[in-house]
Amino acid sequence: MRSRIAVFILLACGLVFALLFGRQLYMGRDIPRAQFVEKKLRVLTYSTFVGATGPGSEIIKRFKAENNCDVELLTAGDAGLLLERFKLSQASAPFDVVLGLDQLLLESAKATVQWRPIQVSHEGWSPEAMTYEPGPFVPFEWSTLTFIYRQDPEIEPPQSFSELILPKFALQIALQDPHSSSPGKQFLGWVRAMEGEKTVDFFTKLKPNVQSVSPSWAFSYGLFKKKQAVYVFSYITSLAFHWGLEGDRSFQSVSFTDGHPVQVEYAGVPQTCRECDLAEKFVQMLLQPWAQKLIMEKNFMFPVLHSQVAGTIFEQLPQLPIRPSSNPSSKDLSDWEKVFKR
Amino acid sequence: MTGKKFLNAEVATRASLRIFLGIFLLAPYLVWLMWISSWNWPSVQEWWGTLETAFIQAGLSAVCCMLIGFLFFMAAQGWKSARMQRASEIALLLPNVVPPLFLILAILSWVTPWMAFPYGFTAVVFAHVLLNSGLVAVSLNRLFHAKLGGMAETAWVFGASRTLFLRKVALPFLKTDLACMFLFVFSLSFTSFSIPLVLGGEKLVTLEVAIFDSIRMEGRWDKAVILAAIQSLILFLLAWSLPHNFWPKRQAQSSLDYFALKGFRLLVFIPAFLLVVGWISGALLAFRSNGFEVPWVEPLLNSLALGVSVGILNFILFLLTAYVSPHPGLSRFLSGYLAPSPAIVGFAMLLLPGEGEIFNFVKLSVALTLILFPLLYRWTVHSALSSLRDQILTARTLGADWSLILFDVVWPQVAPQLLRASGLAALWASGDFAISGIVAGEMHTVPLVMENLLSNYRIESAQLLMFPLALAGLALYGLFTGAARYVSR
Repeated sequence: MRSRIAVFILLACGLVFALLFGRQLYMGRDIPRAQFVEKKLRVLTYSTFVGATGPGSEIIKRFKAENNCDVELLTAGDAGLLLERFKLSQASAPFDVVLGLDQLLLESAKATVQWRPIQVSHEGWSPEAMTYEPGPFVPFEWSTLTFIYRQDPEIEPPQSFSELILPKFALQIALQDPHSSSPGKQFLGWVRAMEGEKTVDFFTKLKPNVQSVSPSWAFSYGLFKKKQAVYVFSYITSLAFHWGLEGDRSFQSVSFTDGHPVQVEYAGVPQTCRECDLAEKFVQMLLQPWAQKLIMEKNFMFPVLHSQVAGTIFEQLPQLPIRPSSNPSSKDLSDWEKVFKR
Repeated sequence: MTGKKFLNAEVATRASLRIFLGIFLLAPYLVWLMWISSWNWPSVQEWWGTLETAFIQAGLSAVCCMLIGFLFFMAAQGWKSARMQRASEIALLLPNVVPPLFLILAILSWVTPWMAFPYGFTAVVFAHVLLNSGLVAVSLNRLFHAKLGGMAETAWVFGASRTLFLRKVALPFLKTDLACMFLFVFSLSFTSFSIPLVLGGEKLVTLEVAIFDSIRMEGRWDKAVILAAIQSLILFLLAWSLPHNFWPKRQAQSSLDYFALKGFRLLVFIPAFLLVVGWISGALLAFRSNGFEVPWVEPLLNSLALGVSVGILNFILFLLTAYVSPHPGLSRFLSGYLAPSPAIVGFAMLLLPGEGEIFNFVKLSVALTLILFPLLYRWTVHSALSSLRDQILTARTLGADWSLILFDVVWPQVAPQLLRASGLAALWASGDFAISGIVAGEMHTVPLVMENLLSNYRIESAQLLMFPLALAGLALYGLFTGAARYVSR
């Protein structure tokens, strides 16, 4: 009996190692036996940037080859947890680059960590990328946010922000929770910027029109794609996916003259970096035309370098007026909670 | 003299192992205790309301899961052939390998063409029933076979009615097991995150959401850890109220005809059917769309390796628990303890030394074990081990040493339960994305690729990946249940 347990444990352990070995073989099938490299850049980012379909892996592959160094990627689940992840590991193994902070996190990032200023040329940049003062950070992608819907003879999209609360949109809008989602926070900030002291009133009137409040953007967009919601709060660049990759022009966006929020994503190099020169090179590489194009095509966001948009589907996307919004305060969040009673 | 020394050494080893087990399971809390320098207790208003609604939701969900699970169990008895019994078990377990988004989408797509979706308690309870009642049915099947089989056959021969048997025999004899199972389903619903958030509308929040808020919005790890501890404490207190167990005389050898609802046997396939229809239509769309190549080989290998590794770790811990049992304190601790939320466990792992792919893999395996082990112990292992208490005490009285008891008394009787529980751990681990997203680093598992695809608008491709994910999960479960057959032959 004991030998059977031992055999089972040994076989199972062997299977784990065989699977790991098989995986290494599969991953290393195209890699030449390169020389050992000592330098290692530690990059912290959100998982989708370096995921199987994100632009990260290709950028990193090229960076490694050009700089003869290794890059260790560390992820934080989603962008909202980046700073917490950063703070936790800082004492033991500092990061060299943090990638994916949006403008809502900048304030807190500046308050809790010291960052190295990085010199980059702003020539040819989209003005939207500079909507918010970046300080020591470098923007590398951006997009305005709006409501996306499918064109249908029965659908009359809202023409202005105030129309969102009309009863004809009952149970049609998919939103994200501002507690767990960056676009959710953007929406809250937008409402706050538009309605000021009347935010709670607006939410109270909007509530009957809300089909769902999801924990993440991907979740709510999934509901929308599966036709559970008529409108979803999303990036204008969502249209680039549907128009360009799917060839489906029925997806449209609403445009309000009052303006729309914009999300800008940044890279930063903390003062505690160990491979600081490499880190700066990495951030500068993100602004290279090829990297910007890759980010645009794989992350479906506008590149900072405006020239990269020319001749692509991104050029055809509607130009939305921008209304910068501030980071929602704890009072704004409690306003949200008052209505949506979390 | 030498024998006495040996016995003392064995007692000391067992005591040390019990302490190790306790420390290992409490490790996330201990790591945070060392890391957090100042603690600010959250005000009662911050969590009391949440706790109340979460409690009601979890209670309702658990009651409904137990009732529907019992119905599924009776329906499953209608299948006579071993092949159909296996198929019904797989169908009942299938909802557990499906990520929450797909479960929610399936529910919405079945309901919304006919009526406005009833967000709130009803929807959340329904989703939890769809998710967990199959687990209850599979568990009841094992339980009835192991503990009531012999008695059921006797009662059948004597012509006792099914209702009378259930009321007079099954309920009194199985009350501890049923309480454990209830606590297990209650814990799952109590700590549920996405389902209450999306389907609960404005009425429902769980403590899990409040924990996540404390980390994300306030960066207050102290508050998050305290809320998680409150969550654990509540289940702990519930576990203390559990009644004692009993020891079965004889196991049933085949399906329990006595309980079979033959006319309802197709019922066991309903949860899987509800999910699979939406899933297949999505996958077909992915085939027809832009020919996007879904990367799956490396993620599949990673998911399989992770599943096997978590399964083995759980198995080793179960074996260790079996060696140091019976111990009333440990038994109460294990049947009541709930690991803190995934974010707290995941980030606690990151605070431990060691970086790089191999370390990340080990940390991820340990983190998943820390979460799954207490749940699975409560679900099936507690009942199996406590039913052997009298045999172990008899063996001890006759002078058997603890290792002899483990391998010659305990192991032959509980091996199938331990391995099945480990198989379930492997199945769940292969489908995890909550902890993997935090700890995995550069390692891509199938659920992480699915999440990545969802974030890249490719929901259909993500649905396509459900096939390898489900196959991997069920293969892992099959590996461990196959091992159960091998080792107990």
